[in-house]
Amino acid sequence: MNSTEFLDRLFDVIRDEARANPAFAARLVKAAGGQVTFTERDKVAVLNPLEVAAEGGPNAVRSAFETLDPLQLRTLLKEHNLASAIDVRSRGKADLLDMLAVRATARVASRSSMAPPPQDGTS
Amino acid sequence: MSANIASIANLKGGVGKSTTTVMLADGLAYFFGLNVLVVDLDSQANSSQVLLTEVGLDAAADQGKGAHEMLGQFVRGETPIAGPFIVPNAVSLEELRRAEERDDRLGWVSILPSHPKLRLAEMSLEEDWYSGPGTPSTLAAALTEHFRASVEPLLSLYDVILIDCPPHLSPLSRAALAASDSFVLPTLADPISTWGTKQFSDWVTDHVTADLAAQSFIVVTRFRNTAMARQIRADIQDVYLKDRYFGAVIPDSVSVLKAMDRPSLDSYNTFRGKYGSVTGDVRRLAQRYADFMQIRTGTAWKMVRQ
Repeated sequence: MNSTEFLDRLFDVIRDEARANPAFAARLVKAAGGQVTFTERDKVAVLNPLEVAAEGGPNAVRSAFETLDPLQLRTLLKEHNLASAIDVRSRGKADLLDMLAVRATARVASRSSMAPPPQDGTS
Repeated sequence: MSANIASIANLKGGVGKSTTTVMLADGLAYFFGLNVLVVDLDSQANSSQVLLTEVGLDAAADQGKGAHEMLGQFVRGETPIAGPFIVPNAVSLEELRRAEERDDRLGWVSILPSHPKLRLAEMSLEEDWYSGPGTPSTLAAALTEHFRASVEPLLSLYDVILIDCPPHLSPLSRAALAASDSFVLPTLADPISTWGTKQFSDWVTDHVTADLAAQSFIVVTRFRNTAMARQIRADIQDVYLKDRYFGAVIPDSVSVLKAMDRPSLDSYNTFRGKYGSVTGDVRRLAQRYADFMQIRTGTAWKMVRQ
């Protein structure tokens, strides 16, 4: 195998994995310093609300996740241990989005040793 | 009703003292309908964090609640009373909250929280005390007297008082040990923790109670089901601490980590929702502790929930 064939094969494997695994794709792009836009379906798997809250506060969380439907918001809240099944029961989209923004921001504020985001922290 | 005071203690850090404290508090409140007070004397404030969240912990400190305030009371020579420093609601279980809403309270958890400022307050007190003729032992004795008098009015209000002790023998933790009726000793199934448990047992036997064996409740925590861990656990149970009462084994599990991370102060979960795959382990822990207490005190707690 010559060097071109070798690299083709390597990048094919990486490309295939990135297509099948959006979280891997996100890590890969981030490591390379790039920025990409994800589909709504992939957002749940890829975007970390704590990271968004740390970088932009609660309003950034609202903007980043406002297109998700209630089911996706519930999944996100539970996967990041920002809510229990009881907390999200019978809640509408606006409540869930607000809960995500407020709780993600509060958790970052209480656990992060980094400086707070430059913009306002209103909820 | 007169509360039994138990210290959850071990000289070694990282053996699951706070996890055991919270699981016991929840388990006894949920399964036996007991009124439980958690006293957090560890300035790392882990059981306070788990029960109240970080936001609630700071809010409690802002409202003048916490063990550091009780220490301040001692420093100022004021009448010992712990009641004003207690956060009366540290419940995160939906079933307990609902019962309370129906005015049918059956099982409850309150907390005298800790805060990182507790260690600073204790260090300041130690500096003052030792600048005179005082010694660590006289300070521990004075604190024991203050602590006993502080909780005396609470004994009729609670069934169980669980003291989460720090992993060192500070004057405050010595006071807590001296005021305790029984001792819950969490340990890991590894050689280092086994030795730490021996050090602690020897010290308590020499300085607090000669009858530690009868007053000890051992909990093996963060148990990984490996051949080595099984062997060490068997050695602990059958050789090193064979005269002690053993509680349930708490596995090393994601469910434990999740249960120790309350999403928010206004977040509630069902018992099974909170503890997930370790629900049965927490139930066994509470059940075994109830059995231990029946042997120790003759008090038979009745199971009120399954």
